[in-house]
Amino acid sequence: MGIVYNISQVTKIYRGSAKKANDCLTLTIREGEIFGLLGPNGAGKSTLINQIAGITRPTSGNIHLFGIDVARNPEVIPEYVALQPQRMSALVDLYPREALLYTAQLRHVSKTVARQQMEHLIEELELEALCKKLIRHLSGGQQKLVSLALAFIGDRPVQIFDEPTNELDPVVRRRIWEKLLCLHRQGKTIIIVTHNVLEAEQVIEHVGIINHGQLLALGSVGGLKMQVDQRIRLELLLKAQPLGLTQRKIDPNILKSLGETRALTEQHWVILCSRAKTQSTINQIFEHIGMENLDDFRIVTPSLEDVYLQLGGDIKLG
Amino acid sequence: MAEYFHRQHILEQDKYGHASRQAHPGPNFADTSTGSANHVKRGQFMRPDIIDSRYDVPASRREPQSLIRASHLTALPSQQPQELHLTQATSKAADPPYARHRATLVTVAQQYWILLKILLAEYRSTWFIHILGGLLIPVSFAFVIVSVGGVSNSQQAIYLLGGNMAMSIATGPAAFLITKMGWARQVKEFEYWIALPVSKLLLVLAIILVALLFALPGILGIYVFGSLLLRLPFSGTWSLILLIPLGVLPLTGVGALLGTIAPNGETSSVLSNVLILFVGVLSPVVLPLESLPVPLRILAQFMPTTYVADAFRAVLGGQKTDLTFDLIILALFSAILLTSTYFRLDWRNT
Repeated sequence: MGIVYNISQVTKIYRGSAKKANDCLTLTIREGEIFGLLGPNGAGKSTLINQIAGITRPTSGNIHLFGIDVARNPEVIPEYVALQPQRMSALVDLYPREALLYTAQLRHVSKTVARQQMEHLIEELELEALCKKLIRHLSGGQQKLVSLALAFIGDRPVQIFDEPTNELDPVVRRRIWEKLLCLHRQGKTIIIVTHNVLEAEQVIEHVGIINHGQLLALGSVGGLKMQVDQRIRLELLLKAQPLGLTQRKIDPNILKSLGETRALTEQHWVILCSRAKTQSTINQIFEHIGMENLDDFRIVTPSLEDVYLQLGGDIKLG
Repeated sequence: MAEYFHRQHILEQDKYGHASRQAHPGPNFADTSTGSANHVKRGQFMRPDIIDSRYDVPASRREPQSLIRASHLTALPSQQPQELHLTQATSKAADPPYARHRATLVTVAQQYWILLKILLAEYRSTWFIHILGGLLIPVSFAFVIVSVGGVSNSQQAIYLLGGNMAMSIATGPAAFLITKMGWARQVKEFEYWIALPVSKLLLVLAIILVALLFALPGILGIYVFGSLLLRLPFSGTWSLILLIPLGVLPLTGVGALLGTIAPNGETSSVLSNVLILFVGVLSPVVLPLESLPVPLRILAQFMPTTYVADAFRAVLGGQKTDLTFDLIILALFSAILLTSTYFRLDWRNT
């Protein structure tokens, strides 16, 4: 697949600041992929997004969109890219229908098609109930939903989302992830900035982890997981011991003998064990503790969140 | 907790020894062990091709580790350049999916019309400010001056009325634009426009036209109300309508420019109050030039409001020669102020 965005050595220093918000970032985003940009608050994610969306000029470095140098010709970007507004600041005195229709038309969509797209989105995202109020009078989550719809409308081949699902309730959040997957199936290139690593893991294909303006890790989700602690985490939630009963009490030493063990609470234990030893450790747990004494038993392999915490956070790799 | 479902599944595999994925339960919304609501129902949610990638992807579909490292993985900054060089050499830029939109006169006119509709919609929540600023403030000044016996002949009445009309533009659309631009900067309103294929020039022109339209109720209201209050004949109405754009444009420029200078919303609100104060009592707009101290008289020569007020007076009093001079000055002010606004306007952050 061809490269949509080729970001090369991009450095951004804001006027009046000595700190590099982005420090020599180099990465590519391919056609049709879902690229996730992860990192703590203030890491430089939005700065990067704003530069590739043409809102901010890079201090140095090159950004090519479909092979066009957009650091020099930023006016090309809106022709192909839709950016979800971070918050609704423009258009607040419009009704959601008007905002969607006008935005589509400004993206050169004919009025008839714009109307169709608008009605389709309103149905798909269940916006009908919001359409009777001015955007100004909608709640934070509702405005977020409208801002997402504003990114979707006009059917741009590249769509960028900054924290698409925060402020949304779980049902709406699922609807949005489904919509993003639907766009992915249509071949759109999708770039997502998010903190919601657990949800994003279901969707994202390639990940960039950024902190202090630098790219700390870049790769496929699977590939990055190979880089973090490969041990399997066994999480046990022991049943509470009823008072007054002379039941067999579980000896903590048994647990401690199973591997590197941590007790989060008296009941909640985490055992780290290598992949090879997983089966035997599980057998031992069944033998010495027994399922009947467990409220919960989880087997956890490295997740994208572990990748994020170990490669992106302050926890050092290795 | 997406992992939860993986875990459930693995557990079942271990217990019953079959590899079917169908037995896993739906999302357990009662899983409050972590206090999180991040549940995602796996079966419904995931792309089929990555659903099993962690546990039971057939070996044939799994990327060998070495391949992953070579093609995708660039782990630490120090390793980046070489690795990426490798990827870039093997793949090239995708072609744009369609040719860039070519602007024609018709499409530009359509865009302009849409921009106007969006900007005019602001009137829905700000009409009160426009009425207050453009009509009530100047009328109040006129009322005070008349009450203290400041108008004794028709010349003074014309002076006051002309000044009041100029003041209406300053306290209405100009003050409004200062605040609007300042707040737009604070809430990053322009980022929405930058992310759309809309030219900055078109947006600035739309803002100006809307300011012009919003100036009309104030100016015409004062013309009618002031003429009645001061018992002036309704003279020069048609010339007045032609003069309004040239009176509004430079002050729109002042407003927009001051707005782009204001670093945030609060500062812009203060600036707009300063403008109202300046026009009201510190320049020869409502008060006569002779009543001002010398520094303010000098300063007045460089203020567009002075010439706007003069031009209105000339029209109301029918003095054609003064008017030509005022119009030239106003045209110059408009050109300079609006061009500076265009360039000052924060379009892309630096």
